[in-house]
Amino acid sequence: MDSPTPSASGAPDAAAVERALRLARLAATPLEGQRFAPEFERVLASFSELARIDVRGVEPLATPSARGDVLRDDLLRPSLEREQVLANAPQPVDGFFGVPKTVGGES
Amino acid sequence: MSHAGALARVEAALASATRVEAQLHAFLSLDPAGARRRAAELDAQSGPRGALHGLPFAVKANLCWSGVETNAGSALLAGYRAPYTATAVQRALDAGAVALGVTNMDEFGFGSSGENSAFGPAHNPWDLARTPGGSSSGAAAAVASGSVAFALGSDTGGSVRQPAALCGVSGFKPSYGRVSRYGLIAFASSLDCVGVLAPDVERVASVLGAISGADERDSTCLAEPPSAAPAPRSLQGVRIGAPREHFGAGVDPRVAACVRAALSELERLGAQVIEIDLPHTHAAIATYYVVASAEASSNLARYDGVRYGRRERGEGSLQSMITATRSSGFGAEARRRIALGSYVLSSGYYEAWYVQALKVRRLIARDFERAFERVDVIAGPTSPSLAFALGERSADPLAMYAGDALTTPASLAGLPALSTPCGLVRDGSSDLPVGLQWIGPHGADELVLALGAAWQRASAHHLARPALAQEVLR
Repeated sequence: MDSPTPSASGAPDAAAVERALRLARLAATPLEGQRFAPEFERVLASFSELARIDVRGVEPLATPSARGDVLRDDLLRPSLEREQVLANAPQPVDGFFGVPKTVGGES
Repeated sequence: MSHAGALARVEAALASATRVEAQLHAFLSLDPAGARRRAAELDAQSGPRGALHGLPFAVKANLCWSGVETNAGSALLAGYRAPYTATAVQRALDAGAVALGVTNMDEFGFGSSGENSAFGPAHNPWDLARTPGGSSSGAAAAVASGSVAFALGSDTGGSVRQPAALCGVSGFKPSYGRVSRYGLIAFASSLDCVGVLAPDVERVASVLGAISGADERDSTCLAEPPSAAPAPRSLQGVRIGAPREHFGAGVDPRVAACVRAALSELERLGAQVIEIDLPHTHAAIATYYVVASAEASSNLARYDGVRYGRRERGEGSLQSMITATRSSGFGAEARRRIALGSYVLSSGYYEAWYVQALKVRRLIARDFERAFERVDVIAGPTSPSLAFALGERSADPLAMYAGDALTTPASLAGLPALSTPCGLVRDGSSDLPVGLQWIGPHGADELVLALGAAWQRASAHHLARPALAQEVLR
Protein backbone atom coordinates (compact mmCIF):
# COMPACT_ATOMS: atom_id res chain seq x y z
CA MET A 1 0.00 0.00 0.00
CA ASP A 2 1.23 3.48 -0.76
CA SER A 3 1.18 5.95 2.08
CA PRO A 4 1.32 9.38 0.49
CA THR A 5 2.27 12.41 2.47
CA PRO A 6 -0.71 14.74 2.60
CA SER A 7 0.18 17.98 0.92
CA ALA A 8 -1.95 21.07 0.83
CA SER A 9 -0.07 22.56 -2.06
CA GLY A 10 2.98 22.33 -4.23
CA ALA A 11 4.02 19.82 -6.82
CA PRO A 12 3.58 16.09 -6.26
CA ASP A 13 6.63 13.90 -6.51
CA ALA A 14 7.17 11.36 -9.26
CA ALA A 15 5.90 8.49 -7.11
CA ALA A 16 2.61 10.31 -6.54
CA VAL A 17 2.18 10.83 -10.27
CA GLU A 18 2.93 7.18 -10.88
CA ARG A 19 0.34 6.24 -8.26
CA ALA A 20 -2.32 8.48 -9.84
CA LEU A 21 -1.72 6.85 -13.22
CA ARG A 22 -1.99 3.41 -11.68
CA LEU A 23 -5.24 4.29 -9.91
CA ALA A 24 -6.62 5.56 -13.22
CA ARG A 25 -5.53 2.38 -15.03
CA LEU A 26 -3.31 4.43 -17.29
CA ALA A 27 0.26 4.14 -18.42
CA ALA A 28 2.22 7.01 -19.90
CA THR A 29 2.76 6.13 -23.54
CA PRO A 30 6.30 5.77 -24.91
CA LEU A 31 5.50 8.70 -27.17
CA GLU A 32 5.14 10.95 -24.14
CA GLY A 33 8.30 9.50 -22.63
CA GLN A 34 9.42 11.44 -19.63
CA ARG A 35 7.25 14.46 -20.41
CA PHE A 36 4.07 13.34 -18.68
CA ALA A 37 5.17 13.60 -15.05
CA PRO A 38 6.83 17.04 -15.23
CA GLU A 39 3.88 18.46 -17.14
CA PHE A 40 1.41 16.94 -14.69
CA GLU A 41 3.40 18.44 -11.81
CA ARG A 42 3.49 21.83 -13.51
CA VAL A 43 -0.30 21.83 -14.01
CA LEU A 44 -0.98 20.82 -10.43
CA ALA A 45 1.52 23.34 -9.06
CA SER A 46 -0.31 26.10 -10.93
CA PHE A 47 -3.45 25.23 -8.95
CA SER A 48 -1.70 25.59 -5.61
CA GLU A 49 -3.29 29.02 -5.04
CA LEU A 50 -6.40 27.12 -3.93
CA ALA A 51 -4.66 26.20 -0.68
CA ARG A 52 -4.10 29.87 0.13
CA ILE A 53 -7.78 30.81 0.02
CA ASP A 54 -9.43 31.19 3.41
CA VAL A 55 -12.32 28.72 3.48
CA ARG A 56 -12.88 28.59 7.23
CA GLY A 57 -16.56 27.96 7.90
CA VAL A 58 -17.34 27.40 4.20
CA GLU A 59 -19.34 24.31 3.26
CA PRO A 60 -18.24 22.43 0.14
CA LEU A 61 -20.47 22.94 -2.92
CA ALA A 62 -20.56 19.58 -4.70
CA THR A 63 -23.40 20.42 -7.07
CA PRO A 64 -25.40 23.49 -8.05
CA SER A 65 -28.46 21.27 -8.46
CA ALA A 66 -31.55 22.86 -6.98
CA ARG A 67 -33.01 19.42 -6.32
CA GLY A 68 -32.11 17.23 -3.40
CA ASP A 69 -32.04 13.48 -3.63
CA VAL A 70 -34.65 12.34 -6.11
CA LEU A 71 -35.95 8.80 -5.95
CA ARG A 72 -38.36 7.08 -8.27
CA ASP A 73 -40.52 4.09 -7.58
CA ASP A 74 -38.57 0.86 -7.76
CA LEU A 75 -40.45 -0.57 -10.70
CA LEU A 76 -39.33 -2.84 -13.48
CA ARG A 77 -39.41 -1.02 -16.80
CA PRO A 78 -38.66 -1.93 -20.39
CA SER A 79 -34.98 -1.62 -21.17
CA LEU A 80 -32.64 -2.22 -24.09
CA GLU A 81 -32.66 -5.68 -25.63
CA ARG A 82 -29.61 -7.83 -24.94
CA GLU A 83 -28.58 -7.70 -28.63
CA GLN A 84 -28.64 -3.90 -28.57
CA VAL A 85 -26.50 -3.79 -25.46
CA LEU A 86 -23.96 -6.24 -26.84
CA ALA A 87 -23.86 -4.64 -30.30
CA ASN A 88 -21.09 -2.26 -29.20
CA ALA A 89 -19.14 -4.76 -27.10
CA PRO A 90 -15.64 -5.45 -28.43
CA GLN A 91 -15.83 -9.16 -27.60
CA PRO A 92 -19.29 -10.56 -26.84
CA VAL A 93 -19.32 -14.24 -25.87
CA ASP A 94 -22.55 -16.27 -25.90
CA GLY A 95 -24.70 -13.29 -24.99
CA PHE A 96 -22.30 -11.94 -22.38
CA PHE A 97 -19.43 -9.45 -22.27
CA GLY A 98 -16.23 -11.40 -22.80
CA VAL A 99 -13.12 -10.54 -20.78
CA PRO A 100 -9.71 -12.22 -20.34
CA LYS A 101 -9.87 -15.10 -17.91
CA THR A 102 -9.01 -14.02 -14.38
CA VAL A 103 -8.89 -17.46 -12.70
CA GLY A 104 -7.93 -20.92 -13.90
CA GLY A 105 -5.14 -20.11 -16.32
CA GLU A 106 -5.07 -18.80 -19.86
CA SER A 107 -8.34 -18.22 -21.72
CA MET B 1 -37.76 33.77 -41.83
CA SER B 2 -39.21 32.30 -45.00
CA HIS B 3 -41.52 29.32 -44.94
CA ALA B 4 -39.69 27.27 -47.48
CA GLY B 5 -40.48 23.58 -47.42
CA ALA B 6 -38.48 21.39 -45.10
CA LEU B 7 -36.93 19.47 -47.97
CA ALA B 8 -35.84 22.67 -49.74
CA ARG B 9 -34.19 23.88 -46.53
CA VAL B 10 -32.49 20.60 -45.92
CA GLU B 11 -31.19 20.45 -49.50
CA ALA B 12 -29.76 23.95 -49.13
CA ALA B 13 -28.20 23.07 -45.78
CA LEU B 14 -26.67 19.87 -47.15
CA ALA B 15 -25.29 21.76 -50.15
CA SER B 16 -23.71 24.33 -47.86
CA ALA B 17 -22.34 21.81 -45.38
CA THR B 18 -20.87 19.71 -48.17
CA ARG B 19 -19.36 22.74 -49.93
CA VAL B 20 -17.43 23.97 -46.88
CA GLU B 21 -16.72 20.68 -45.11
CA ALA B 22 -13.32 20.13 -46.70
CA GLN B 23 -12.22 23.48 -45.28
CA LEU B 24 -13.97 23.38 -41.89
CA HIS B 25 -14.09 19.72 -40.86
CA ALA B 26 -17.11 20.71 -38.77
CA PHE B 27 -18.81 17.34 -39.14
CA LEU B 28 -17.73 13.86 -38.16
CA SER B 29 -20.62 12.43 -40.16
CA LEU B 30 -23.51 13.64 -42.30
CA ASP B 31 -26.74 11.77 -42.90
CA PRO B 32 -28.10 13.19 -46.17
CA ALA B 33 -30.45 10.28 -46.83
CA GLY B 34 -31.99 10.34 -43.36
CA ALA B 35 -32.33 14.12 -43.40
CA ARG B 36 -34.03 14.11 -46.81
CA ARG B 37 -36.39 11.33 -45.76
CA ARG B 38 -37.38 13.15 -42.59
CA ALA B 39 -37.81 16.47 -44.42
CA ALA B 40 -40.04 14.85 -47.02
CA GLU B 41 -42.18 13.36 -44.23
CA LEU B 42 -42.53 16.78 -42.64
CA ASP B 43 -43.55 18.35 -45.95
CA ALA B 44 -46.20 15.66 -46.41
CA GLN B 45 -47.69 16.24 -42.96
CA SER B 46 -50.77 18.30 -42.43
CA GLY B 47 -51.93 19.76 -39.16
CA PRO B 48 -50.04 21.75 -36.54
CA ARG B 49 -46.32 22.25 -36.98
CA GLY B 50 -43.67 21.90 -34.33
CA ALA B 51 -41.81 24.96 -33.09
CA LEU B 52 -38.69 23.92 -35.02
CA HIS B 53 -40.48 22.64 -38.10
CA GLY B 54 -38.08 21.94 -40.96
CA LEU B 55 -35.04 23.51 -39.34
CA PRO B 56 -31.84 21.63 -40.20
CA PHE B 57 -29.64 21.14 -37.15
CA ALA B 58 -26.43 19.44 -36.04
CA VAL B 59 -25.75 17.21 -33.06
CA LYS B 60 -22.53 17.34 -31.06
CA ALA B 61 -20.75 13.99 -31.07
CA ASN B 62 -21.33 13.47 -27.33
CA LEU B 63 -25.13 13.52 -27.60
CA CYS B 64 -26.52 10.08 -28.26
CA TRP B 65 -28.47 9.69 -31.47
CA SER B 66 -29.87 6.21 -31.95
CA GLY B 67 -28.11 4.17 -34.61
CA VAL B 68 -25.58 6.90 -35.39
CA GLU B 69 -21.89 6.88 -34.46
CA THR B 70 -21.64 8.88 -31.21
CA ASN B 71 -17.92 8.83 -30.49
CA ALA B 72 -17.48 12.01 -28.38
CA GLY B 73 -14.44 12.87 -30.49
CA SER B 74 -12.56 9.93 -28.99
CA ALA B 75 -10.69 7.12 -30.72
CA LEU B 76 -11.78 4.95 -27.81
CA LEU B 77 -15.41 5.26 -28.92
CA ALA B 78 -14.78 5.13 -32.68
CA GLY B 79 -17.53 3.01 -34.18
CA TYR B 80 -19.82 3.25 -31.15
CA ARG B 81 -23.42 3.47 -32.32
CA ALA B 82 -25.75 4.81 -29.67
CA PRO B 83 -28.62 2.42 -28.90
CA TYR B 84 -30.88 5.28 -27.82
CA THR B 85 -31.37 9.03 -28.36
CA ALA B 86 -30.59 11.82 -25.90
CA THR B 87 -33.61 13.66 -24.54
CA ALA B 88 -32.49 17.01 -25.98
CA VAL B 89 -31.98 15.53 -29.45
CA GLN B 90 -35.28 13.66 -29.30
CA ARG B 91 -37.19 16.78 -28.28
CA ALA B 92 -35.64 18.79 -31.11
CA LEU B 93 -36.65 16.05 -33.53
CA ASP B 94 -40.14 15.90 -32.03
CA ALA B 95 -40.45 19.66 -32.56
CA GLY B 96 -39.88 19.15 -36.29
CA ALA B 97 -36.17 19.88 -36.59
CA VAL B 98 -34.17 17.74 -39.04
CA ALA B 99 -30.83 16.32 -37.89
CA LEU B 100 -28.18 16.72 -40.57
CA GLY B 101 -25.15 15.19 -38.95
CA VAL B 102 -22.74 14.88 -36.04
CA THR B 103 -20.29 17.64 -35.21
CA ASN B 104 -16.60 17.53 -34.36
CA MET B 105 -15.43 18.16 -30.80
CA ASP B 106 -12.55 17.90 -28.37
CA GLU B 107 -12.44 14.38 -26.98
CA PHE B 108 -15.14 14.03 -24.30
CA GLY B 109 -15.23 17.85 -24.09
CA PHE B 110 -11.62 18.13 -22.91
CA GLY B 111 -10.44 21.22 -24.70
CA SER B 112 -11.00 24.78 -25.84
CA SER B 113 -9.73 24.59 -29.41
CA GLY B 114 -11.06 21.42 -31.02
CA GLU B 115 -7.50 20.15 -31.35
CA ASN B 116 -8.14 17.31 -28.91
CA SER B 117 -10.50 15.65 -31.36
CA ALA B 118 -9.13 12.23 -32.31
CA PHE B 119 -10.41 12.92 -35.82
CA GLY B 120 -8.55 16.16 -36.50
CA PRO B 121 -9.55 19.70 -35.57
CA ALA B 122 -12.35 21.80 -37.00
CA HIS B 123 -11.41 25.19 -38.44
CA ASN B 124 -12.75 28.68 -37.85
CA PRO B 125 -14.83 29.96 -40.79
CA TRP B 126 -13.46 33.49 -40.21
CA ASP B 127 -9.86 32.33 -40.64
CA LEU B 128 -9.18 28.72 -41.50
CA ALA B 129 -5.77 28.76 -39.82
CA ARG B 130 -7.42 29.47 -36.48
CA THR B 131 -9.41 27.47 -33.96
CA PRO B 132 -13.19 27.75 -33.86
CA GLY B 133 -12.88 27.28 -30.10
CA GLY B 134 -14.03 24.25 -28.23
CA SER B 135 -15.12 21.84 -27.22
CA SER B 136 -18.26 22.40 -29.39
CA SER B 137 -15.92 23.25 -32.28
CA GLY B 138 -17.82 21.76 -35.17
CA ALA B 139 -21.14 23.03 -33.83
CA ALA B 140 -19.93 26.64 -33.83
CA ALA B 141 -18.23 26.31 -37.22
CA ALA B 142 -21.37 24.75 -38.74
CA VAL B 143 -23.64 27.52 -37.44
CA ALA B 144 -21.21 30.31 -38.39
CA SER B 145 -20.82 28.96 -41.91
CA GLY B 146 -24.59 29.01 -42.37
CA SER B 147 -24.91 25.27 -42.86
CA VAL B 148 -27.42 24.66 -40.06
CA ALA B 149 -30.19 26.66 -38.38
CA PHE B 150 -28.92 25.64 -34.96
CA ALA B 151 -26.67 23.14 -33.26
CA LEU B 152 -26.94 21.28 -29.99
CA GLY B 153 -23.74 21.36 -27.95
CA SER B 154 -22.63 20.81 -24.41
CA ASP B 155 -21.02 23.24 -22.00
CA THR B 156 -19.08 22.04 -18.95
CA GLY B 157 -16.76 25.02 -18.48
CA GLY B 158 -17.55 27.17 -21.52
CA SER B 159 -17.72 24.67 -24.38
CA VAL B 160 -20.76 26.31 -26.00
CA ARG B 161 -20.07 29.96 -25.14
CA GLN B 162 -16.38 30.17 -26.06
CA PRO B 163 -16.72 28.63 -29.56
CA ALA B 164 -19.83 30.76 -30.11
CA ALA B 165 -17.75 33.84 -29.25
CA LEU B 166 -14.81 32.84 -31.44
CA CYS B 167 -17.09 32.05 -34.41
CA GLY B 168 -19.43 35.04 -34.07
CA VAL B 169 -22.68 33.21 -33.25
CA SER B 170 -24.99 33.15 -30.24
CA GLY B 171 -24.42 30.36 -27.73
CA PHE B 172 -26.29 29.58 -24.54
CA LYS B 173 -25.56 27.46 -21.49
CA PRO B 174 -28.79 27.09 -19.51
CA SER B 175 -29.05 26.99 -15.73
CA TYR B 176 -27.77 23.66 -14.44
CA GLY B 177 -30.68 21.23 -14.65
CA ARG B 178 -32.74 23.18 -17.16
CA VAL B 179 -32.13 20.69 -19.97
CA SER B 180 -31.96 16.97 -19.39
CA ARG B 181 -28.51 15.38 -19.54
CA TYR B 182 -29.99 11.99 -20.43
CA GLY B 183 -27.97 10.70 -23.37
CA LEU B 184 -25.19 13.25 -22.97
CA ILE B 185 -21.92 11.33 -22.64
CA ALA B 186 -20.81 12.35 -19.15
CA PHE B 187 -17.72 14.50 -18.56
CA ALA B 188 -18.36 16.23 -15.20
CA SER B 189 -21.86 15.57 -13.95
CA SER B 190 -22.19 18.57 -11.64
CA LEU B 191 -21.15 20.93 -14.43
CA ASP B 192 -22.39 19.41 -17.71
CA CYS B 193 -25.19 21.29 -19.47
CA VAL B 194 -26.71 20.74 -22.90
CA GLY B 195 -26.54 24.07 -24.72
CA VAL B 196 -27.64 25.69 -27.98
CA LEU B 197 -25.75 27.56 -30.72
CA ALA B 198 -27.64 29.56 -33.37
CA PRO B 199 -27.27 32.62 -35.60
CA ASP B 200 -29.31 34.73 -33.17
CA VAL B 201 -30.75 34.68 -29.66
CA GLU B 202 -34.34 34.41 -30.82
CA ARG B 203 -33.52 31.08 -32.45
CA VAL B 204 -31.62 29.95 -29.35
CA ALA B 205 -34.70 30.73 -27.24
CA SER B 206 -37.06 28.80 -29.48
CA VAL B 207 -34.76 25.76 -29.38
CA LEU B 208 -34.44 25.99 -25.60
CA GLY B 209 -38.23 26.11 -25.40
CA ALA B 210 -38.38 22.83 -27.29
CA ILE B 211 -35.66 20.91 -25.44
CA SER B 212 -35.91 22.07 -21.81
CA GLY B 213 -38.15 20.85 -19.02
CA ALA B 214 -38.57 17.94 -16.67
CA ASP B 215 -37.22 14.52 -17.58
CA GLU B 216 -37.56 11.60 -15.23
CA ARG B 217 -34.42 10.08 -16.76
CA ASP B 218 -32.24 12.84 -15.27
CA SER B 219 -32.75 13.28 -11.54
CA THR B 220 -31.04 16.69 -11.59
CA CYS B 221 -33.40 17.99 -14.28
CA LEU B 222 -35.61 20.78 -12.99
CA ALA B 223 -39.31 20.13 -12.87
CA GLU B 224 -40.25 23.53 -14.22
CA PRO B 225 -42.24 23.60 -17.46
CA PRO B 226 -40.31 24.18 -20.68
CA SER B 227 -39.30 27.77 -21.17
CA ALA B 228 -41.58 29.63 -23.53
CA ALA B 229 -40.24 32.13 -26.03
CA PRO B 230 -39.28 35.05 -23.79
CA ALA B 231 -41.54 38.05 -24.14
CA PRO B 232 -39.80 40.95 -25.85
CA ARG B 233 -38.52 43.40 -23.30
CA SER B 234 -36.68 46.67 -23.25
CA LEU B 235 -33.19 47.32 -21.95
CA GLN B 236 -34.48 50.48 -20.27
CA GLY B 237 -33.44 50.56 -16.63
CA VAL B 238 -31.83 47.12 -16.68
CA ARG B 239 -28.92 47.03 -14.23
CA ILE B 240 -25.91 45.39 -15.88
CA GLY B 241 -22.97 44.48 -13.66
CA ALA B 242 -19.53 44.70 -15.29
CA PRO B 243 -17.07 42.67 -13.18
CA ARG B 244 -13.71 44.45 -12.94
CA GLU B 245 -11.98 41.06 -12.86
CA HIS B 246 -13.38 40.20 -16.31
CA PHE B 247 -11.55 43.11 -17.91
CA GLY B 248 -8.23 42.76 -16.12
CA ALA B 249 -4.98 40.89 -16.52
CA GLY B 250 -5.01 38.12 -19.08
CA VAL B 251 -7.73 39.73 -21.20
CA ASP B 252 -6.62 40.94 -24.65
CA PRO B 253 -7.02 44.75 -24.49
CA ARG B 254 -8.70 44.70 -27.92
CA VAL B 255 -11.31 42.26 -26.60
CA ALA B 256 -11.83 44.35 -23.47
CA ALA B 257 -12.23 47.53 -25.54
CA CYS B 258 -14.72 45.88 -27.89
CA VAL B 259 -16.84 44.65 -24.97
CA ARG B 260 -16.60 48.05 -23.22
CA ALA B 261 -17.89 49.65 -26.42
CA ALA B 262 -20.80 47.19 -26.42
CA LEU B 263 -21.61 48.10 -22.81
CA SER B 264 -21.67 51.77 -23.85
CA GLU B 265 -24.14 50.88 -26.59
CA LEU B 266 -26.28 49.12 -24.00
CA GLU B 267 -26.16 52.26 -21.86
CA ARG B 268 -27.37 54.33 -24.79
CA LEU B 269 -30.26 51.88 -25.08
CA GLY B 270 -31.25 52.67 -21.52
CA ALA B 271 -29.37 50.10 -19.46
CA GLN B 272 -27.39 51.10 -16.42
CA VAL B 273 -23.86 49.67 -16.29
CA ILE B 274 -22.51 49.21 -12.77
CA GLU B 275 -18.94 48.19 -11.91
CA ILE B 276 -18.98 45.14 -9.64
CA ASP B 277 -16.47 42.74 -8.11
CA LEU B 278 -16.37 38.95 -8.34
CA PRO B 279 -13.36 38.59 -6.05
CA HIS B 280 -12.75 34.86 -6.46
CA THR B 281 -12.61 34.96 -10.27
CA HIS B 282 -8.84 34.39 -10.09
CA ALA B 283 -9.43 30.97 -8.53
CA ALA B 284 -11.99 29.77 -11.09
CA ILE B 285 -9.58 27.92 -13.38
CA ALA B 286 -7.90 25.99 -10.56
CA THR B 287 -11.27 25.21 -8.94
CA TYR B 288 -12.79 24.14 -12.22
CA TYR B 289 -9.91 21.90 -13.27
CA VAL B 290 -9.77 20.15 -9.91
CA VAL B 291 -13.54 19.59 -9.70
CA ALA B 292 -14.12 18.77 -13.38
CA SER B 293 -11.12 16.43 -13.57
CA ALA B 294 -12.20 14.62 -10.41
CA GLU B 295 -15.65 14.03 -11.85
CA ALA B 296 -14.18 13.08 -15.24
CA SER B 297 -11.88 10.49 -13.70
CA SER B 298 -14.91 8.89 -12.10
CA ASN B 299 -17.18 9.13 -15.15
CA LEU B 300 -14.56 7.86 -17.56
CA ALA B 301 -13.76 4.80 -15.44
CA ARG B 302 -16.45 3.08 -17.51
CA TYR B 303 -14.19 2.95 -20.58
CA ASP B 304 -12.51 -0.32 -19.76
CA GLY B 305 -12.74 -2.15 -23.07
CA VAL B 306 -15.45 -4.49 -21.80
CA ARG B 307 -18.87 -3.13 -22.71
CA TYR B 308 -18.23 -0.73 -25.57
CA GLY B 309 -15.50 1.01 -27.45
CA ARG B 310 -12.21 -0.40 -28.58
CA ARG B 311 -10.14 -2.97 -26.75
CA GLU B 312 -6.39 -3.52 -26.64
CA ARG B 313 -5.29 -6.95 -25.53
CA GLY B 314 -2.29 -5.85 -23.49
CA GLU B 315 -0.32 -8.73 -22.00
CA GLY B 316 -3.37 -10.92 -21.70
CA SER B 317 -4.63 -10.35 -18.14
CA LEU B 318 -7.81 -8.39 -17.37
CA GLN B 319 -5.90 -5.55 -15.68
CA SER B 320 -3.39 -5.38 -18.48
CA MET B 321 -6.18 -5.30 -21.05
CA ILE B 322 -7.90 -2.43 -19.23
CA THR B 323 -4.71 -0.38 -18.85
CA ALA B 324 -3.65 -0.99 -22.46
CA THR B 325 -7.13 -0.06 -23.74
CA ARG B 326 -7.30 3.18 -21.78
CA SER B 327 -3.71 4.20 -22.40
CA SER B 328 -3.97 3.86 -26.17
CA GLY B 329 -7.64 4.82 -26.52
CA PHE B 330 -7.60 8.13 -24.66
CA GLY B 331 -5.74 11.11 -26.09
CA ALA B 332 -3.04 13.01 -24.18
CA GLU B 333 -5.37 15.62 -22.66
CA ALA B 334 -7.89 13.00 -21.57
CA ARG B 335 -5.13 11.00 -19.89
CA ARG B 336 -3.83 14.12 -18.16
CA ARG B 337 -7.27 15.03 -16.79
CA ILE B 338 -8.14 11.52 -15.69
CA ALA B 339 -4.80 11.21 -13.88
CA LEU B 340 -5.30 14.64 -12.32
CA GLY B 341 -8.77 13.64 -11.14
CA SER B 342 -7.51 10.37 -9.70
CA TYR B 343 -4.78 12.26 -7.89
CA VAL B 344 -7.04 14.85 -6.24
CA LEU B 345 -9.52 12.16 -5.20
CA SER B 346 -6.93 9.77 -3.82
CA SER B 347 -6.34 9.03 -0.18
CA GLY B 348 -4.13 11.66 1.39
CA TYR B 349 -4.96 14.35 -1.17
CA TYR B 350 -8.75 14.34 -1.18
CA GLU B 351 -9.26 16.96 1.55
CA ALA B 352 -6.40 19.21 0.48
CA TRP B 353 -7.39 19.31 -3.16
CA TYR B 354 -10.93 18.13 -3.94
CA VAL B 355 -12.76 19.31 -0.82
CA GLN B 356 -10.76 22.56 -0.80
CA ALA B 357 -11.83 23.18 -4.42
CA LEU B 358 -15.48 22.50 -3.52
CA LYS B 359 -15.26 25.12 -0.77
CA VAL B 360 -13.77 27.67 -3.14
CA ARG B 361 -16.55 26.75 -5.56
CA ARG B 362 -19.02 27.85 -2.88
CA LEU B 363 -17.16 31.18 -2.56
CA ILE B 364 -17.38 31.70 -6.32
CA ALA B 365 -21.13 31.00 -6.21
CA ARG B 366 -21.49 33.44 -3.31
CA ASP B 367 -19.72 36.16 -5.27
CA PHE B 368 -22.49 35.89 -7.83
CA GLU B 369 -25.27 35.83 -5.23
CA ARG B 370 -23.94 39.03 -3.72
CA ALA B 371 -23.58 40.67 -7.12
CA PHE B 372 -27.17 39.83 -8.04
CA GLU B 373 -28.37 41.78 -5.00
CA ARG B 374 -27.22 44.88 -6.90
CA VAL B 375 -27.65 44.02 -10.57
CA ASP B 376 -30.09 42.13 -12.82
CA VAL B 377 -27.49 40.58 -15.06
CA ILE B 378 -23.69 40.46 -15.38
CA ALA B 379 -21.87 41.18 -18.64
CA GLY B 380 -18.27 40.98 -19.81
CA PRO B 381 -16.09 39.23 -22.37
CA THR B 382 -16.81 35.55 -23.07
CA SER B 383 -13.24 34.69 -24.03
CA PRO B 384 -10.17 36.62 -22.92
CA SER B 385 -8.69 36.29 -26.41
CA LEU B 386 -9.59 36.30 -30.08
CA ALA B 387 -9.59 33.04 -32.01
CA PHE B 388 -5.99 31.85 -31.83
CA ALA B 389 -3.96 29.94 -34.39
CA LEU B 390 -4.34 26.18 -34.48
CA GLY B 391 -1.22 24.77 -32.84
CA GLU B 392 -0.48 27.92 -30.87
CA ARG B 393 -1.46 26.50 -27.48
CA SER B 394 -1.72 22.78 -28.10
CA ALA B 395 1.65 22.03 -26.45
CA ASP B 396 0.90 24.09 -23.35
CA PRO B 397 -2.08 22.94 -21.27
CA LEU B 398 -1.89 25.92 -18.92
CA ALA B 399 -2.11 28.40 -21.81
CA MET B 400 -5.15 26.48 -23.07
CA TYR B 401 -6.82 26.39 -19.63
CA ALA B 402 -6.31 30.17 -19.22
CA GLY B 403 -8.84 30.69 -22.02
CA ASP B 404 -11.58 29.34 -19.73
CA ALA B 405 -11.07 32.01 -17.05
CA LEU B 406 -14.29 33.90 -17.79
CA THR B 407 -16.64 31.04 -18.61
CA THR B 408 -15.85 28.60 -15.79
CA PRO B 409 -17.24 30.79 -12.95
CA ALA B 410 -20.84 30.57 -14.21
CA SER B 411 -20.39 26.83 -14.76
CA LEU B 412 -19.21 26.26 -11.20
CA ALA B 413 -22.20 28.22 -9.90
CA GLY B 414 -24.68 26.55 -12.28
CA LEU B 415 -25.86 29.86 -13.76
CA PRO B 416 -27.40 30.57 -17.17
CA ALA B 417 -24.91 32.29 -19.47
CA LEU B 418 -25.17 33.52 -23.05
CA SER B 419 -22.54 34.66 -25.53
CA THR B 420 -23.61 37.12 -28.21
CA PRO B 421 -21.40 38.66 -30.90
CA CYS B 422 -20.47 42.27 -30.06
CA GLY B 423 -18.08 43.33 -32.79
CA LEU B 424 -15.11 42.40 -34.95
CA VAL B 425 -11.43 43.03 -34.29
CA ARG B 426 -8.85 43.10 -37.06
CA ASP B 427 -5.92 40.77 -36.37
CA GLY B 428 -3.39 40.31 -39.15
CA SER B 429 -5.42 39.92 -42.29
CA SER B 430 -8.55 38.64 -40.53
CA ASP B 431 -11.61 40.19 -38.97
CA LEU B 432 -12.38 38.13 -35.88
CA PRO B 433 -15.54 38.12 -33.76
CA VAL B 434 -15.67 39.07 -30.08
CA GLY B 435 -18.31 37.66 -27.74
CA LEU B 436 -20.18 39.45 -24.96
CA GLN B 437 -21.13 37.08 -22.14
CA TRP B 438 -24.36 37.65 -20.21
CA ILE B 439 -24.71 35.80 -16.89
CA GLY B 440 -27.99 35.67 -14.97
CA PRO B 441 -29.14 34.37 -11.58
CA HIS B 442 -29.95 30.66 -11.38
CA GLY B 443 -33.23 29.97 -13.18
CA ALA B 444 -33.32 33.34 -14.94
CA ASP B 445 -32.69 31.79 -18.35
CA GLU B 446 -35.59 33.66 -19.93
CA LEU B 447 -34.33 37.00 -18.61
CA VAL B 448 -30.85 36.43 -20.04
CA LEU B 449 -32.29 35.41 -23.42
CA ALA B 450 -34.77 38.30 -23.45
CA LEU B 451 -31.99 40.82 -22.83
CA GLY B 452 -29.77 39.23 -25.46
CA ALA B 453 -32.64 39.33 -27.95
CA ALA B 454 -33.40 42.97 -27.09
CA TRP B 455 -29.77 43.86 -27.74
CA GLN B 456 -29.85 42.07 -31.10
CA ARG B 457 -33.03 43.88 -32.13
CA ALA B 458 -31.22 47.16 -31.55
CA SER B 459 -27.81 46.26 -32.99
CA ALA B 460 -26.30 44.51 -35.99
CA HIS B 461 -23.21 42.73 -34.62
CA HIS B 462 -24.87 39.34 -34.81
CA LEU B 463 -25.53 39.78 -38.53
CA ALA B 464 -21.81 39.79 -39.43
CA ARG B 465 -20.94 36.57 -41.24
CA PRO B 466 -17.66 35.20 -42.52
CA ALA B 467 -17.13 35.43 -46.27
CA LEU B 468 -17.27 31.66 -46.35
CA ALA B 469 -20.86 31.59 -45.22
CA GLN B 470 -23.68 31.24 -47.65
CA GLU B 471 -27.06 32.50 -46.57
CA VAL B 472 -29.05 29.33 -46.89
CA LEU B 473 -31.32 29.80 -43.94
CA ARG B 474 -33.22 32.99 -44.67
